[in-house]
Amino acid sequence: MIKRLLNIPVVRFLKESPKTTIGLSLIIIMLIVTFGAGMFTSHDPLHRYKDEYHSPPSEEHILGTTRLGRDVFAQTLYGGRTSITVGVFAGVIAVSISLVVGVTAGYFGGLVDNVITTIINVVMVIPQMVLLLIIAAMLGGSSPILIATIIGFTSWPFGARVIRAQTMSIRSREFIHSAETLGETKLRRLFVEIMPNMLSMISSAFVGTVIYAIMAQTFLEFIGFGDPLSVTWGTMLNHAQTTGALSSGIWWEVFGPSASIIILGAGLTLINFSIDELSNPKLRAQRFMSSYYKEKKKLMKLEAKNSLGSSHVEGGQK
Amino acid sequence: MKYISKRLGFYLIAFIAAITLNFFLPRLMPGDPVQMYLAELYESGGRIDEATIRAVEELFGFNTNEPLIVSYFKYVKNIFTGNWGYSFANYPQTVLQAMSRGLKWTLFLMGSGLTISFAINTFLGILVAWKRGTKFDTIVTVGGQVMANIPAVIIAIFLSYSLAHTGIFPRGYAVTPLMVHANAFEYVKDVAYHAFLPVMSIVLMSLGGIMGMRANMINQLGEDYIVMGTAKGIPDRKIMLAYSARNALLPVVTTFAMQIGFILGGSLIIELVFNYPGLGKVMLGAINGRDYPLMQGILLMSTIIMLSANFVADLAVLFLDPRIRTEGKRG
Amino acid sequence: MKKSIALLLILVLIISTFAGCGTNDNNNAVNENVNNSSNVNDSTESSDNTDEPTEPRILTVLLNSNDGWVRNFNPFANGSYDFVNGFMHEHLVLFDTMNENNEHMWLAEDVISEPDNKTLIVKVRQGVKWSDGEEFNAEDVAFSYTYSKDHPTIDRTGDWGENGKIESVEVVDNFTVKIVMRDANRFHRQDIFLQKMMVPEHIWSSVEDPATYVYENPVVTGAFSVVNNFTPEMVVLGRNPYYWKADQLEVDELRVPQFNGNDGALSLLQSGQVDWAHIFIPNAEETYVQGDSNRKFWYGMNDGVRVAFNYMTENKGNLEAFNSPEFKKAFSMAVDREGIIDSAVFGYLDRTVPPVTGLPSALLGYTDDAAQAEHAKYTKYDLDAAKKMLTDAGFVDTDGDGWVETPSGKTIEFDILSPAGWSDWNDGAAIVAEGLREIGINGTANAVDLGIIIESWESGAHDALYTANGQSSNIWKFYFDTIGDASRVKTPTWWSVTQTNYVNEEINELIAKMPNASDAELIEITSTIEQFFTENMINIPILYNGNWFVYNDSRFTNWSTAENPYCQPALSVHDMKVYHLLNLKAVK
Repeated sequence: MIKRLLNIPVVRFLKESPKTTIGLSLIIIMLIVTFGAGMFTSHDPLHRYKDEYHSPPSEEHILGTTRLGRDVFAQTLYGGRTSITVGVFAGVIAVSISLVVGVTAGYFGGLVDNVITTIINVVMVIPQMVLLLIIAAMLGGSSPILIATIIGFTSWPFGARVIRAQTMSIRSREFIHSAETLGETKLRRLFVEIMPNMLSMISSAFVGTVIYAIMAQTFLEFIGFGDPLSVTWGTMLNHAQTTGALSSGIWWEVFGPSASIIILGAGLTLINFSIDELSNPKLRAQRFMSSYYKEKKKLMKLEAKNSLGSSHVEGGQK
Repeated sequence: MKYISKRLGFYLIAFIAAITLNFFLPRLMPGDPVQMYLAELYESGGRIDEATIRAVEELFGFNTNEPLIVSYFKYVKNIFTGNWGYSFANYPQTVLQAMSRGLKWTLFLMGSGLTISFAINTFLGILVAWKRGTKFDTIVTVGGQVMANIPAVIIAIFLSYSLAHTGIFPRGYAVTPLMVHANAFEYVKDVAYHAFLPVMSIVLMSLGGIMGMRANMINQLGEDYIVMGTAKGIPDRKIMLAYSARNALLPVVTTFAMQIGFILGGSLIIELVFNYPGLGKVMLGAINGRDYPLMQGILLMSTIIMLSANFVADLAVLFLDPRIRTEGKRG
Repeated sequence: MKKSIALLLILVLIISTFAGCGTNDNNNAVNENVNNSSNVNDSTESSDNTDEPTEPRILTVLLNSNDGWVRNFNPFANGSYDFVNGFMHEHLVLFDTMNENNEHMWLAEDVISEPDNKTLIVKVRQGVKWSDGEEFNAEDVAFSYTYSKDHPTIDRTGDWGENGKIESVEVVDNFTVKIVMRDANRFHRQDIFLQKMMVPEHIWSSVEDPATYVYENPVVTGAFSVVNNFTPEMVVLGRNPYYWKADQLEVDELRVPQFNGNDGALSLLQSGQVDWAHIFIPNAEETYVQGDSNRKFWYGMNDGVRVAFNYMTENKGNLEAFNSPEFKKAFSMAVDREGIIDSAVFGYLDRTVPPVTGLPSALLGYTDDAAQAEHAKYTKYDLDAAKKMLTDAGFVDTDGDGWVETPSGKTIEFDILSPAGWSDWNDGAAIVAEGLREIGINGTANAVDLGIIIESWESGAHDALYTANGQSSNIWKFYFDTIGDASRVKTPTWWSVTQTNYVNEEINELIAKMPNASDAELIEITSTIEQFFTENMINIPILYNGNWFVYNDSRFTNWSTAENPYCQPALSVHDMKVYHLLNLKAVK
């Protein structure tokens, strides 16, 4: 029974690819812990515990308190919701734009392609971080949603270029030509034949953008462009900085958000890896190679044992 | 030749686009710059009275009665003739002067960071592709990629916090302030001491480049001519370096150009966390003080950096890929 | 082709190194200069400038934050640096804003206010010389005032022109100047001499455009006039050889390092080499003092912070609440002021709560006892008393949404705005809002971009602001700006009526009488105003902003401290800092 379960392709895939398993679990853990924050902490992230300003971790406050007496652990968990949502939101916006732009350019080719490519190149050459900073400053003390929008609208070029290249390469493949000969309309070819083949590319771009968005958001908030009264990982870091936590050894206030970002980032990266492997069998060789080496080692050990004339014939040991 | 001139043409268009963007952005910002400036003055403990208010109003001289188009063309002309205007906050410094120190340090950080990480990434990438499937491979690739996806902010904060707090490395500045250096060597030592952590952050941040190199190498290793080489008896190392690496380098160089933007952004972040006196700090000060001319100047300058880096990459591609040299047109 | 790659890498390396090298050479040359000309650190050669056998006494101060010093000592330039004002160009009279605006005669020996409240006679001090040896006399004083007549761009104080304050300036004799003002106002004295820099007539009379003139070699009466060294990273100034108070000045050299932002300042302070600064340091004990018993700071009282209501808000419910003194008194009792000071400001600040009118520390002499007694009742943190007061006044929750409504049943809901990034204000506002919500008032703290706040002054689109009271050199001006100037309602001007849009005709009439009131009348007027404001709780006073005075007494002593506050210690106050400087004693 168990064996049959373990042989379902999905589960087998997970078993064979430790990266995916670890990555997925990290992400799921983070999602549960942040969106289900109420289950893990009884503190209100905004409640000010008088007389407990900047107190170190204790039983009552697992990660200590901030300068204003707020529980760091609670803030990390609840704040995570906003940070993750912003990241995902930005990712969706960016990928949608890249998709539309990239596919249009790659598929229609010709003049359309030239114009769009020039636009992409120009936008790419203008340094994104600087532009992001200026726009953030221009629009003033931004709410998380505003930040998400700005990030989404400035980080699409990278993905667009990649998608365009992929579209172009797929477009010239034989199965497309045959679909054309069969009489499929241009639009249908686009949606039914080409797009599904780019799924891995799209998801990879999406995950990459989410990671970038979380970073950009954290950075913007860290230097003070977020809403200082909201609770997100970035504003927590900003608060730590302005209240001198960094220079006076108050490590817990920094630990919460940093650890969360690292865990989430690592999880997303690992997922990205597996998406790569799924789509590019050559990279999958990694796993085969490692199992190959493992087998080789086992064989060598066996030979060594045999050549020593061991007497452990029975017993079922390998 | 045609290739170069085509690229240059493109860069010109991009530059003009940047100038245009530059021109319109600050004009769309909310808030009266005079009041903002006064507010900043107040917040930093300054004393505000009528005299100061008048002085600031003078300074900002917002008497734009001329039509937008005229201002725009004037602006474009000024940029190309090197007149980038006066910085509000640092009057009477011109924008170029105000940026110059920051620029030097940022270029230094970026340059050293890029060189070191390029070298490390390439070498590790080659090594790792060669030793595919081994534990070494897994550790380096996974580790490297994970590291690369940790936001620069976090890396910088982490390094700053752990190492600088313990006093091993300094927190901030490019050289020890108030210190007089006995000779050039002392100076270089001091600079290196202060630059160590920021540069390390850049290197850590860019470890993702290993993946690119590795993927390319793997592709190359599957090629026929490699098999041929092995069959012929050419030593492994020569194949690795002279054959596959050289060809794998080409796509890496092109992605290098795209990476510049990433590195530039990253170094801004790192400067801000490490209080390093580069363009990033100047930028932040300009934004906080609503110093429009300076902000515009920095945007333009960073665009120029990007464009130059891209150009350098184009030259590299030219050298490395004979196909480009011989063919007149791009497909 | 490996060679090309190698070439490329080398190219990149070279470019980046050149960038760094450029700075290297620059700084190197400079550092050598510093070494030679000013004898810093532990060199034992004697300097050319001073003929003291011992090491020069160096005072290191932190002035403005910027990206690099630019050599321009022009006092009329728009970005004129703080070392020009005070340490180089001096004033006629110094006003001690910490000690009730006490006057210290400086370049003037005496100032006589005529009974007409229009004429001021200045007796110029004799024996003062400019740093180039010329005599300082009435010509220079008169010139310093009339110079802006012909150059309106530098007329910052509105002295001349159509609405000019000054009628005429006349040189009576070599050391006497007569200034006649247009309007009669007993407060001209505080106004017209405040931080007015004296400039040499023999230099500036030939300058075409003072606003843009780049003035590299200053001629001044002040303590420091010799430029020993000037780099973007550091300005080193030496003593004025003709300084009229030379025997009292125990500093031979002034060093002003460049820094950018509070973090930069903190790094400098941590080196222990800075003597005097004006910086808010979070967690100062740990990050600045770090066990060094010579590193000190005193964050005394500066100007006040308050919650200001918009008395012209469109929201009827809020307006009704804002017009109810009981509502506001309850509001005031829900503010945990101690909590704000302890958490957001690390407990540094003075616990005095400013009067409701927001009198700055300099004008505290005008508080009224009756008003203060009333004030004390309603500025204690007492949630129960606050809730009771609300209920008694008719503010109850009529619709069950958890928040109180006005007696007439309208909804009360408002934001308290503060500029995003001013973290101690953001935090303070948040704590205020917390308290409000605990007693049932639906108030929320909202940190928005500064530009938006400024726009909202003009449009009147805000309900409440967490803001400052402002400062002024005299009581009339303070009241006029913050209460009595109806023309500034709904304009984008700091420290003025526009923060509250509160207009009260009777009070304004009283204020208009102040310029010509006698001493007794003045006290009567201020008492009336103080009492009225306190009884009606027009503003909610929160706390006094700190005077971010930071100092180090290992090299110099006799600082003005909490134990011995003989003068305003802040570096940002351009006249008193000179007085402070001259009282410093070098440690032997």
